[in-house]
Amino acid sequence: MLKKLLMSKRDYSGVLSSLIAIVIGLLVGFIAMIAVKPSSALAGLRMLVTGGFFNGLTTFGSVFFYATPIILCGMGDAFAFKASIFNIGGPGQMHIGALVAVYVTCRIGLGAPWSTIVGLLCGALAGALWALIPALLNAYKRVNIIITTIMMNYIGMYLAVDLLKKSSIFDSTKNQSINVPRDLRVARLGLDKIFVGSAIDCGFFVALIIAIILWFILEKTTFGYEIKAVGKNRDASDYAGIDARRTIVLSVLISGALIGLGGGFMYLGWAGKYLLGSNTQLSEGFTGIAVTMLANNNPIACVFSGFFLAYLTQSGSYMQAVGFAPEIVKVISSVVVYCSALSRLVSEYLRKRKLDYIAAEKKGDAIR
Amino acid sequence: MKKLLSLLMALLMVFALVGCSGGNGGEGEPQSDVIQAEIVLVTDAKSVDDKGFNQYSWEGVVQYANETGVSTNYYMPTEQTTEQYLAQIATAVKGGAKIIVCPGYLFGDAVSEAQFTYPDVKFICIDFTPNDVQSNALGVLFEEEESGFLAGYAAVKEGFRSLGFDGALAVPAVKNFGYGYLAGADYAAKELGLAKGDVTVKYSYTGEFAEKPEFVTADQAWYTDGVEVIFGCGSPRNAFEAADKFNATSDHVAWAIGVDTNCADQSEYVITSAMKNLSPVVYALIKEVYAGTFEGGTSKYYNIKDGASALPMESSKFENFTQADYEAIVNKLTSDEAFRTSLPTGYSNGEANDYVNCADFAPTLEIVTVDIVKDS
Amino acid sequence: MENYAIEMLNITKRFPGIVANDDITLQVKYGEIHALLGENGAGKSTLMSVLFGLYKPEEGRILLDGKEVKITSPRKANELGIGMVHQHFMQIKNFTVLENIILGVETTKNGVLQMQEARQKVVELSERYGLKVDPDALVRDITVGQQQRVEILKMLYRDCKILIFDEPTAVLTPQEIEELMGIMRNLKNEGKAIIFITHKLDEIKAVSDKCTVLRLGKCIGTVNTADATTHQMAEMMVGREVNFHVDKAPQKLGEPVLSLKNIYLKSEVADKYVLNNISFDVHSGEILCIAGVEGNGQSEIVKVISGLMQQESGTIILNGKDISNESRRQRIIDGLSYVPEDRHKHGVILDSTLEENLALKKYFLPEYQNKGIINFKSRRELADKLISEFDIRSSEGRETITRSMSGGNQQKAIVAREIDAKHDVLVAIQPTRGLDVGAIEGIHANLVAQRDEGKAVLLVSFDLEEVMGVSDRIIVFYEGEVVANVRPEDVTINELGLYMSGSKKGENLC
Repeated sequence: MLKKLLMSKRDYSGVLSSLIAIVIGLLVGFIAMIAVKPSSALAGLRMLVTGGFFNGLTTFGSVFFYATPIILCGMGDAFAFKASIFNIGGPGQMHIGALVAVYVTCRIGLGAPWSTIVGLLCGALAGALWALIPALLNAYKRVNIIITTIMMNYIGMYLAVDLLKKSSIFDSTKNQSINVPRDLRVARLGLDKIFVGSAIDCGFFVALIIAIILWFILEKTTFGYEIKAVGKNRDASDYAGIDARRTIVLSVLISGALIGLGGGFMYLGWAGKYLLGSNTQLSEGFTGIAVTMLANNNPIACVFSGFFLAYLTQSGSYMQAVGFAPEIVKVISSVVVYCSALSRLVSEYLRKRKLDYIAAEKKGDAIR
Repeated sequence: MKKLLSLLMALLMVFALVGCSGGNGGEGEPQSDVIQAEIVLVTDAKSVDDKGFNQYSWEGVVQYANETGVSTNYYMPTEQTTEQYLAQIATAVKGGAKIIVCPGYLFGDAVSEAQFTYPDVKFICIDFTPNDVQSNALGVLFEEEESGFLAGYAAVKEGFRSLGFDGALAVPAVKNFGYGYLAGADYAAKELGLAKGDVTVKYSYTGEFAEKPEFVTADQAWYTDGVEVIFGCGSPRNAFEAADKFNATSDHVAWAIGVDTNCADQSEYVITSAMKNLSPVVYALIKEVYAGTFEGGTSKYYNIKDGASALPMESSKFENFTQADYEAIVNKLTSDEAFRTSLPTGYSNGEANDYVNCADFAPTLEIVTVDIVKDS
Repeated sequence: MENYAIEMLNITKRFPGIVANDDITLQVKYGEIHALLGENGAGKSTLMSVLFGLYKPEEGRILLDGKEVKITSPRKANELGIGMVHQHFMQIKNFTVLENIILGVETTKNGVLQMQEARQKVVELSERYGLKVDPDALVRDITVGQQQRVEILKMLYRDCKILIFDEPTAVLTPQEIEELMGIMRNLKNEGKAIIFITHKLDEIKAVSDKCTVLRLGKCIGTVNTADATTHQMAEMMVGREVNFHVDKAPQKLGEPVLSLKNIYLKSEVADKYVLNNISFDVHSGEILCIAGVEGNGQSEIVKVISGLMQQESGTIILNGKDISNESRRQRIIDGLSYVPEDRHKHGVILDSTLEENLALKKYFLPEYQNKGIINFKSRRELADKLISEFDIRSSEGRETITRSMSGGNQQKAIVAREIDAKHDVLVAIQPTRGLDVGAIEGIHANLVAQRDEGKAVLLVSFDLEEVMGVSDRIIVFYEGEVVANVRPEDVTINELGLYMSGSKKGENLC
């Protein structure tokens, strides 16, 4: 069957490798559960698989909410990665984007829905600008972007916290941002009638549309062609007359914008999540990297992998209900995430299998 | 290869089976897997050994459980969001919870909603009161200014003239401690007949509940500048570590004051602790629920008369401040209601003795001068 | 039964999709130079990798001194006395010659290096085999030829009895090649077994005793070099008769199309000019060759012309237009085509498809896109057209991932793309490097056809045969300067060698 899938005209190896990686991840998680608490392992595994419906559609609806920022962040990372840029600056870009989005939405005073739309766009812009500095340094001075983006994470966090505390959207008694007025939160388009009591809003569907747009850009436009060319071989692209610097800067800007937008959705939603006055990095910015790894850098696959990881986090938290200590739950769900994110290794393996099959078919006659 | 593939398929089927059997429970039926527990603590996303209110609340729960054998459990939300708090409360209810303890103001919105959703469940809310509080919920508040007062009073009576206050985050509870500390120091200075400026207090907030090297370094710098004792309020271990480090190389001993619980075992340089006795209060409230005497629908302030504010004299390392001195000042607070209620607070509710910033309060002190390094 | 030093018997090595070595037998005696001849992809490298422990063959045995051995790693190969001079030297540039030689096999006493002993041995070896090199010089300061001697010394220091030379002459001047041949003969006389991998038939003729020819992974045969002509060997290698001579019609020289005037470029690392006042013209209908030893400014001049590097001063004129400060894209539009030196780095995007690579110079033209959206139909047509016109062979046509293609076909794709782009000047640097005879023939024919069509062709080559055979005019670079400007019919290869090594300077240097 594997052979059939691999040798078919359309290439399923990407999807296949992600699925295999997920199964391996769950298996390793299951082994971890057996090791920790054999009596509850099966219940734990069941919870890990079905926990996203623990409280029915309420839980499931909230998975959409938690998936949105990590999907956007994953797509941002994937887009930059197409240009061979490893944007680790997710947390910083997200923090800045989120702060600007919340501030503009609460203070611009255009009323619903325009305040929110403008706020989200400003958040995206802010995320892009925060990514601009490492992008320029990389494109023009070839400064290692992994290092610069990590540094910018800290700078972004401190700056965002400091600005938050000085701004009018800070509630000093709670040391966090104020409640976003209900009418200015992300529209729910009646979804809350289906997923009663959940934090769902339309953000997930915006992310889905963006994924399709990104796929179109990458696959169907000359800009996408340039990005991929630069990503695969910057020197050859340079020589062919493609402005590699411009391409890199643009791809990182788009990456930052997506991540900043993700930050906006996270804090303009209905889950009661607030920007904190304490210096904490937004871990969603890092989760985005796992999302894109699991998705093999495919923006559309990011939607699924992001949803999967959000689902896993949610269902994992309910493993407490079957007797796993929350610390152990974190270990197990991290193990699953890490194993899942290794789909690259699996796809390497599949590629080798495929070549073997080809070799077997063309036994003896060499390709020249 | 075939083997690997069949293994994968088998696994997929196992997952599918597991998934299906989970769904068989159907709606309405209690899910057999869920751990049953009558008393549940939902943490504010930190763990139950955080040496903070999660831990002290949990200790109260455990104490009651140990005595009566009632089942208990705790849940740790994955995120600090209202959605997650509600989700974990729902989990607790699924497990048959009768009492849910929610520590921290972050639960405000969540409990405001949950008290309506689960009218049969009692909510014990530590350090906050839900909006439109219902009869099944009780806001448990503490008059932290009292134990702050005791700590400041004892420090000056002991003979310290240069004091420090390292508050973590300027939330009401921390402010209460801090203002009380200043007021206590001032009161002792007056008793001792000191002149204006004889006692100085450095006053600062780090901005977060966290132990970080930079905060330790800041406290150490204070000791080097001649501060004799630091009240580490919120994240006291920063001050403890700074004291340990400073004293390792110093010719005189610098001290730290703990907070919330007796911190004597955390460092040999903890001279005393400004205790806020959460555990007994939680314990007592649970007892009330089971006795049927629980009265919700309001906020209740716990003070020195309930035993909520105290210094652990038996483990304190005072040389000059005696048990008799301590009893005298406790007596003053418990007997003189007007005096007790006049202590400054930081609730931001606009009452006469309520101050938003330390800068508003500091000038009212008669003897003590306050060097405000960082205000709220 | 003869006494062979090393025998590789019936070696078969398969890779996915290809049988790289199919039942190959190679037997080498001590005191013999055994040439291994074959086109690229014939299986020479695979065979040597098997011998060096990098690959494990599916079938076949290896005998050393008549005893079967299992070679599992290069370290094991070294222990057995098998050494290899790689095409790209594996040396630490900031170490001295001596330090490089002993690296990995240092003699120590109580953890202290015993340099004196090592030095003695190295000096002894270099005298014995005529490998002149200063043991205390830093490797970065010595010439390529000397670096190669360091590699040879490395093997001798490790007491290797069987030496493999992987295309050792590719980087050398004619004079250096002569010296290398001498060294190889010395080694042979001292009883070493030598396997000599090369493309160059005259070198085989000059130095080797036997020659084994591989083609498409199969062993075609082993001949005594003395008994075979170069033509015969070439035929064995390619499988058909080969035309060494480049057919050229009489030249129709036109106007200068590309003119360089007083180009200066500073070195990025040292305080000197890598291009020092370079001026020359390339006319339409002319193949101008830049000859010289690698690293004398040839790569830089081409990068300056294409816009990858910005000259410090000087002007470049293309078709009468000053393009000195134009972008690369603009230069391409103005009529510059360019076959780069490093195929994999600059020429193709290895992980893209052939179609995407063939479109690299044209995708932005209105024919291939509309408002930024790619016109896949015309792009596919372009790819198919070039594939058939230039006979680019691959496993899956235009959808082949370029990495899986052979070097010759990758190069064909590049040449096809560059010739297809609208241009007046074709710059090609080392376009035949590493290609087999058949492919070289094809590329030379392409270049000549360009010239005959009236294009200006600028060819940079380190291969003097090629320079002499293809060019209409030759300029020689030495240390960033033009030191000769001659016509091939007026000069001998030896004279060119003197120009290239800086020992002679010509006149009339444009």
